[in-house]
Amino acid sequence: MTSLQKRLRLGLASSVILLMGLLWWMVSGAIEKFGEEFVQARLVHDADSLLAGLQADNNNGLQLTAGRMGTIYQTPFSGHYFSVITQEKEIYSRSLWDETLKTPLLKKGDTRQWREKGPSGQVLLVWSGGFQKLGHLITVAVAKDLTPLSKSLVRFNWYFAGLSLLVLMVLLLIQHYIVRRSFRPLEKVRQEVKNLQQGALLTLTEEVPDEVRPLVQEVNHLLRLLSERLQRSRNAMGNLAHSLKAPLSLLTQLSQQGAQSSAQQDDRPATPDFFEELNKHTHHIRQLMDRELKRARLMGQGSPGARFSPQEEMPILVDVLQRMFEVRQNGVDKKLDIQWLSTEVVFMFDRDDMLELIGNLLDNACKWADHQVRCEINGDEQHLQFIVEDDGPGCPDEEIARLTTRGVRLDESALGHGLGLSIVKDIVETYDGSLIMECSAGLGGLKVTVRLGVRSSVWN
Amino acid sequence: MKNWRVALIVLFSLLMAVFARADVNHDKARQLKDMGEILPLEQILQVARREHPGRVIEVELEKEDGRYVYEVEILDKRGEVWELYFDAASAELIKRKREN
Repeated sequence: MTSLQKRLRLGLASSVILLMGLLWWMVSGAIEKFGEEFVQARLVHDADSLLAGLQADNNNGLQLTAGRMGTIYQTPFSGHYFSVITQEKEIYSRSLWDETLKTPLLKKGDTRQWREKGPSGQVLLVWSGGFQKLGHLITVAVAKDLTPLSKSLVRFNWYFAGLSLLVLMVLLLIQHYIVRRSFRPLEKVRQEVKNLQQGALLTLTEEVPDEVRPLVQEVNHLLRLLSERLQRSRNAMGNLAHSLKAPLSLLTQLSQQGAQSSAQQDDRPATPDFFEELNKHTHHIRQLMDRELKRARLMGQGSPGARFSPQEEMPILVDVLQRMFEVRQNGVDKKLDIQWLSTEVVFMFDRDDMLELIGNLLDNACKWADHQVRCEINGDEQHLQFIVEDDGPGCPDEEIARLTTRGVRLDESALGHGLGLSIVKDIVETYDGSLIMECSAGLGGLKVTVRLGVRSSVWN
Repeated sequence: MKNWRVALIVLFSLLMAVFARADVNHDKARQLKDMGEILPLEQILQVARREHPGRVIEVELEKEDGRYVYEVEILDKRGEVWELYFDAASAELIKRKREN
């Protein structure tokens, strides 16, 4: 079930039905109880009247004073009955006619109440008590038909069911209206996303209901991330074009010189200097190309996302690096041992950025290492730390100081820790993180520590 | 003397005729039902309600010419009171009349 509206409707309907059911159970129970108590009070009252009406007759027995009880006890099967049982005889209301109340004899002081079937399908509530008067033990039973009461109870039940249905309908209608109103901001967001696509907007407005705001904030976060990444690849493209420009213009110069010399009918063959120069520049171009290709390879496949799981990503990355350096060290017997250690936390950092960062750190370390590279990843969801060490020649302190100075661009000539570390520095700066380079105590080479924190602007 | 005797006989006959239409009370009605001489009132009323739907407002049992007759007064929906006479032993409708 994907419709929120449907889910809300079901929830409301079931809770209203439950509530109304409970209410009905309580109210109808109370009405029935009140009705019965009212009837019972009347029965006791009539029993008292009967008892008061019993007088001694001439034969030392008992008789009921005529006209003591109302006419309702006269009409046969009227629904009101009494029966007075003494040791000698039974005096009963004319309304009982040829029927009887099933009355057990009670001891004096005892009272009892029960229901029994009366004539004409009546259900009788019978109240009975045991008394002593004028030396006689008497059992008095008074009964009243409950059918009118249950009839009105049935009528009440129907009214209540109708009312419940009406309440349910009205509530559903109101809910429908509220839900439609509440989802209107989403339509606004949708419109904004459309505008975003057309370039009319850069971020979505965050003036939306609390329930939708996190979503909008995430979208904005994603947008910022994407635009930063776009900016970075534009920079990378610019850098590449820039670095290609110098060797290419030199090559153009060389080819012009060659054309000139052949135009001057100079039969002198090209000097070895010329070829050496040509070779140097093409080699440089190839190096630049290789670097870019390698970057692309480090990124691997996989979808971009705002989560980075070292446990998933590291084995693949290490595998790629190991193969890359085996190919490069073709012929030379250099065995590279890449050890890595990581927590099982899934970090809330952009996967592509993190792969590029750790990829370049490891690439750099592999390049300079003799045999061993050690990598450690730790932190929690809000913080992330990479430590990469190698057993290579390391880096002089003054170079380190220069490399880590903020805003200083690193290039190819900077001691060979070239473009790789430059990219690392770019990423660390976009995350407002820190980059520390020092001498590795354990392995003797360079030790690079990168610390990143989730940008606070996204979370408030 | 003879006239006296005739007069007494006439008087007695008249009295008999009067007593022939005597009301029977509910104690006697129960006895008669228990002895099986008449049907239970319940049964009579079932027939009465079928014959003339309405509310039963009065019932009387009478002994008329040696047989027991139930007289049932019924108030119908139109507000008219009807008197229905049934043979108490067979629940057979004897006559029906509107009470004036």
